[in-house]
Amino acid sequence: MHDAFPCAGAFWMETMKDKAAIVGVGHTEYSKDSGRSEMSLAVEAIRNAISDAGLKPSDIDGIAKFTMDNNDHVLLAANLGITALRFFAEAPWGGGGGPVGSVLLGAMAVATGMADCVVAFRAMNERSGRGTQRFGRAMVREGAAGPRAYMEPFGLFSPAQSVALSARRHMHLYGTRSEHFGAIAVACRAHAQTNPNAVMRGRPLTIQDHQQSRMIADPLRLHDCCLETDGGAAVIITSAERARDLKQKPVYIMAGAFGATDRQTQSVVKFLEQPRSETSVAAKDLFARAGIAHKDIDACFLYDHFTPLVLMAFEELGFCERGEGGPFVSDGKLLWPNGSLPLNTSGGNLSEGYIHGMQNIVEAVRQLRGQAINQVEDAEIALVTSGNAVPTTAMILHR
Amino acid sequence: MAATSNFPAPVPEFGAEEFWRGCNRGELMMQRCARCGKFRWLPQPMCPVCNSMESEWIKVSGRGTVYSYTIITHPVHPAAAGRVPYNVAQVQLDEDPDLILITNLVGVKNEDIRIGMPVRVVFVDHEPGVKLAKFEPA
Repeated sequence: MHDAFPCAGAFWMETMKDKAAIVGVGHTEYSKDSGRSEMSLAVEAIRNAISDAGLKPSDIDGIAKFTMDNNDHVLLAANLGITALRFFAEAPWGGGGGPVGSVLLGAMAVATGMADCVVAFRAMNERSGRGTQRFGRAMVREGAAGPRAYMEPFGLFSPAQSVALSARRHMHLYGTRSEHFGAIAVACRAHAQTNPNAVMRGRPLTIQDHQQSRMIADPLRLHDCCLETDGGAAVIITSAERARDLKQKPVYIMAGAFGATDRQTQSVVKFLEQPRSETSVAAKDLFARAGIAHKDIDACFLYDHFTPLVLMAFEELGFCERGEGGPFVSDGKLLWPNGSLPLNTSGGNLSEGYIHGMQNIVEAVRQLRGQAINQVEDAEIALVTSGNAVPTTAMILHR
Repeated sequence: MAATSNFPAPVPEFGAEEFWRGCNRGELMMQRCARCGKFRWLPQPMCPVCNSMESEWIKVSGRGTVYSYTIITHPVHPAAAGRVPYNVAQVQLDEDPDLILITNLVGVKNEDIRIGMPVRVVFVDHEPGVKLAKFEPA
């Protein structure tokens, strides 16, 4: 088994623990068709985050973006009026590297003095297709090149279809049932009901609804799959020192980790019997660096692209053993307000809006400030992950 | 038109041509490290076990078992519209448990597919001059 690398915990605690903080969050409306450019979504979300922090655009000197995001660093600077950009970076691998990874790049930049205030964001017209191809649709190409040559000729295109293979294997090995996947969808949908910005507000979901929803790629049903959304979300990261003088209560980046293995060569196909996964690699370092235990986490924000991968993430993060994810997620612990480990309290990718996980980071910050709609009582520590089954990133935040 | 009426044909990757040539002549060829004997999948220039860049192509038995599968009912590609429901499976080859190929199962009803089912390779026309390695119950 993989062990955290020897000095992971001690070295991080000295160099990075609580050295950076999230001080501003912002977002746009989440919709099925924004009718606007992706640049327009990006700069609105970023402007809102800057304003939330009590900063001015000229205070921002770094931009960390998703590699997949179509918006260019310099064009963003030109819109926002950032006249001296000292740091620009990209986090690869879509929803795996992107959401938490871009924040961690910002955290490292401010902790090392490379930049003073960094924005991390995601903005896309993923549902309307105004600039970004829908992830739930296959790109029509003349031929299948690279790793796709071994998938697409057989009709395997979308992430949902690949995840179905891993979900079926999990069911076979461990007796996991579709209702277990459904428990995750139901929890996220319940949390969206009070969120005015949630795409799925006003459309509650029961486990029976989940079981009756149409099959997409057996065993994945419609409600096991995340939304497709147009919108933008952004966060501002600065040093802990500077954070203490700003408008909002700082949310400190206690620990962060990246993780990948040599097995993600074909989309989001997962191999359950491997001794380690991308998420388990990140998790070991993450908890060693934070110096906390799983029971210390008050709310969790797991990247919810597909319910089976959330279930597997709980296993790989160490909340339960491999194979125990089904019962673990099904006893009500994920449901606010009574559950012991509320999941994605604003609705997540499944029910708030699919802003590639960035909206979950915005919500984690609101929880730790005490500003959430579904406020977890006395929330002190939150876990945030990026997508499981792709090279991934994770962080632990505290107030 | 071809791009929307059929699933895309494979574009053989530099260094992996022998896999696709093998399919076209009816042989399942796998890349194996010429130094330590470890099979590689997907084909790649270096052995992850011994870092040798030497490899050889071996005709394998074409026998394996179903590792996992899905029945796709929601078409996401234009060519899928007339085909749903169709299966996509992973087949684990007998030669090495790390050889897990994405494929289709033929000669079996979707509802009769089971994980662990023994299968053997069969080469199916995809378009003129291109065959794909699919599997049928053994």
